[in-house]
Amino acid sequence: MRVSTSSFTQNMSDNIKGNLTKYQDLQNRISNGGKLTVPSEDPLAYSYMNKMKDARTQIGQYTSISKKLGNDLNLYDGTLSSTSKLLTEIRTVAVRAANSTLDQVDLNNLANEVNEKLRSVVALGNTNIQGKYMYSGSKTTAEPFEVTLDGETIKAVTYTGDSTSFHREVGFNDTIKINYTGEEVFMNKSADGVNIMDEIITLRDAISAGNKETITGQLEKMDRAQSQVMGYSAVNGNKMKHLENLSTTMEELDIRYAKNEEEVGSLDMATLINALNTQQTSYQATLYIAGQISKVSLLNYV
Amino acid sequence: MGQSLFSISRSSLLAYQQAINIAGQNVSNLQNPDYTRQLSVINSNVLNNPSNITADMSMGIKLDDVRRVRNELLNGYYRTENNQMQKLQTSQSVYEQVEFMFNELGDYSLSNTIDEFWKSWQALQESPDDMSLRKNVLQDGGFLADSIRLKNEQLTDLAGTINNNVDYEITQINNLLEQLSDVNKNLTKSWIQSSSERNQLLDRKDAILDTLSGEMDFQIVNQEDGSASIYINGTPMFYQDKFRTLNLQADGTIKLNTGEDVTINGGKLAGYVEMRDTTIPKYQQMLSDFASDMITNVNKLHQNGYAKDGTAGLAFFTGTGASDITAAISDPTKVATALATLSSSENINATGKTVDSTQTISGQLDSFKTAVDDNSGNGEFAINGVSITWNANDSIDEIISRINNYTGDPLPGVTASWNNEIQKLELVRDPFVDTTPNSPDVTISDVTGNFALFTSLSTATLNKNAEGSGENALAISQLWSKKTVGTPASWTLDEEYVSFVNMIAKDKNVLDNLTTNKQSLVNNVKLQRGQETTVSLDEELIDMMKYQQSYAACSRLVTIADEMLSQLIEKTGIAGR
Repeated sequence: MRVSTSSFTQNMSDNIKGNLTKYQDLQNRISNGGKLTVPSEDPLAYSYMNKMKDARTQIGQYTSISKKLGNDLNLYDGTLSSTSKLLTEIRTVAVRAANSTLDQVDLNNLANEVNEKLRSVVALGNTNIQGKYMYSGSKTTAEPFEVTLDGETIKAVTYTGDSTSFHREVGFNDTIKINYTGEEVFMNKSADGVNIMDEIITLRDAISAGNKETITGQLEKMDRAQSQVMGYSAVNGNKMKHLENLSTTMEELDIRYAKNEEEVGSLDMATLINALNTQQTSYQATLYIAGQISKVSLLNYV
Repeated sequence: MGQSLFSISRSSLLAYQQAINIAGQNVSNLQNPDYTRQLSVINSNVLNNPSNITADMSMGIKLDDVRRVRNELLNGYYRTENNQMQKLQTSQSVYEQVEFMFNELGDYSLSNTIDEFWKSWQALQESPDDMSLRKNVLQDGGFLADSIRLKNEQLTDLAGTINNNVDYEITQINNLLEQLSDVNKNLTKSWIQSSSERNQLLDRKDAILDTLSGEMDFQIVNQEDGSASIYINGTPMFYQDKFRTLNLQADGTIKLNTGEDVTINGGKLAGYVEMRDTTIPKYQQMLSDFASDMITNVNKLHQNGYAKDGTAGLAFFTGTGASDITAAISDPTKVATALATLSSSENINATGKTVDSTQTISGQLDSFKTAVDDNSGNGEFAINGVSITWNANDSIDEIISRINNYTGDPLPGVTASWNNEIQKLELVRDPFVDTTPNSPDVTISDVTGNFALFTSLSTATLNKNAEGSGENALAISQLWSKKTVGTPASWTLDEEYVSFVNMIAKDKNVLDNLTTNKQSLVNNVKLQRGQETTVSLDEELIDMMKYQQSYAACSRLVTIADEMLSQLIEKTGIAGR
């Protein structure tokens, strides 16, 4: 094969350029932490990485939402526990009123005590978090329970909220109901439900009137009211547990997805550095050979 | 004899002198890429004696020809491969710009902007009352619309820049054709006798054809006189003393100045035209399809919902595609976070409550379970006039299955389920399932009146002013992972965009590989051609030494002839002095 001077230098130049390009590509990849620099370097990896990135962004969102919802559910837990405690206290007062021989003054005192506890139950129903009423359905800016007073005595309690349920997405395809309306918790109109406000008013009036038969009847209503509140408390507890489990699952998923993203989208730094060293050696060898060979010419000898 | 020796020496000295000149010419053109090395063809200088063939006499040597070392097969191969490579490289450079434009692995990519948009809806669904979150949704929506429009404009600008390049390449081609026309004219002139001068013109012709092969595809017919006839799409570019030129028309097409249409399939020009007319419009269409799907899906849900002031039917985006997508609202209170909900816990109206066709409703048939559990008789209710009956012995699951497995038209998108938490049957309408044209609404009615609750629901109304509700924001945020694109819906909007970017990446990846391979092929052909046609310094130096030695030998011949003559003249016939 004939080798001409210019084809020799052309070949030498092509080899140097080729090596330098590979050297530069590796240098860019390493400077970028081993990650892809443009999608066209590996379209399949880019597509997979994007899925992982998307999933991790969503996990971040779900985690943040779950934390906020966890706080809301904690507050529901607090108000439901307090309501349950108040119902127990009201029942205790009712038992005293049913079993003791009391004069009117004592009865009035007990009725007043029940009235005050009812006021506390109403206050719990009107709890708000940063301006949002918890038990008002979608009418979050207005107090859901209005009371009609006769002096200090609560004559009636009216629910002015609505029955809207809120659902929030807390995980992939995982949506939970995150509110309880005042109607379902405190004034449940379903067949098995108890209108706690009305029943307390009936009990208070029976105590005031010394009507032991009604008081005894209301004890059973108070038990059902207690069950109703505890039922929601249990449901709420399960949701809190669910969010806790979800949080752990999300953390694990995030770690796994991050690892997958890293594995697919990034090359191992040790492998890259090794490749860079090899490329560097190859580049140096090309330059050295080019330098050595170009020194040799027949011109040096004639 | 002496005379003959002198003649031989004279012709040989002249021939070697010329050969040394040629070698010198070769050496001096060592770095000239257009130069083709020349070989001195030296032959015996024979004097013919027509009367006696045996009396032909060798009269030294002569430089018969100065031959250009050229291989037309490799020339053709190089030009074909170079033509394809230049097209690939041109497309590659445009792809690089497109990929850089989308910068998908950077922090400010469009996919990140899309994610931010969904994130802001997700945050809003959690706190729909929060005005700052409502503003975030509007800002991110506006930014998304602006970003899509900007990408579309950048693609349009790129197509414009490419068109300028098309114009530039056409000018280049016309210049080359003009130069070639000049070379052709000179080659056909009879006064060009010198091989060297002729070779120079042929070098120029080959250099022009090499460059032209990178610009466009054409056919060459080499004429005997060395000139080249060029054809584009079968039309000769040179005729009589004139040459045709290419012209870029206002509509972007290319024509010859004589009016013929031209289709260019190779070289830089074809690369630019293909990117301008096919690739960029294809990407713009895909971006526009994505924008259109984004507008349709978000608007479909947003128009279902209710703003803080109870307004319904508001579009979130205006426009039809990537060129005109714009955020439609600027007032945060107009973000429709709420869905219409039925104000009564008992829900569906016995008299035939009609719910808007595009709404997601969550209707609950209260006491349904009680009625079924109690085996209190048979019953029937109707969904869009389709009778759903139940017998005393049917379980809830059987009745639910009867609704969900109904395959007729009137129940599009209606699914039933038992909500254990609230102990109610829920009927949910999916707004993504189209209704039949004649039955756009869902109407539920109690046929037999067995459900006592139905009779007491005449006051159930849609509550549109549910300011605390984030159900619609939730539905919109779920577009992040909901498959809504395609028929049947099989992609999420994110997947649609990623597949678009992925297509650019894949196209470029394939092109990168093709270009690298083609570049390597062109380099090899070029090397192969160069090995034959370009100058080797060592070779030329050896030739020069060879010719120098021969020249010295011939001059020695003169000395010998001189000495021989001297012998005759000075030493012979002394007696006569």
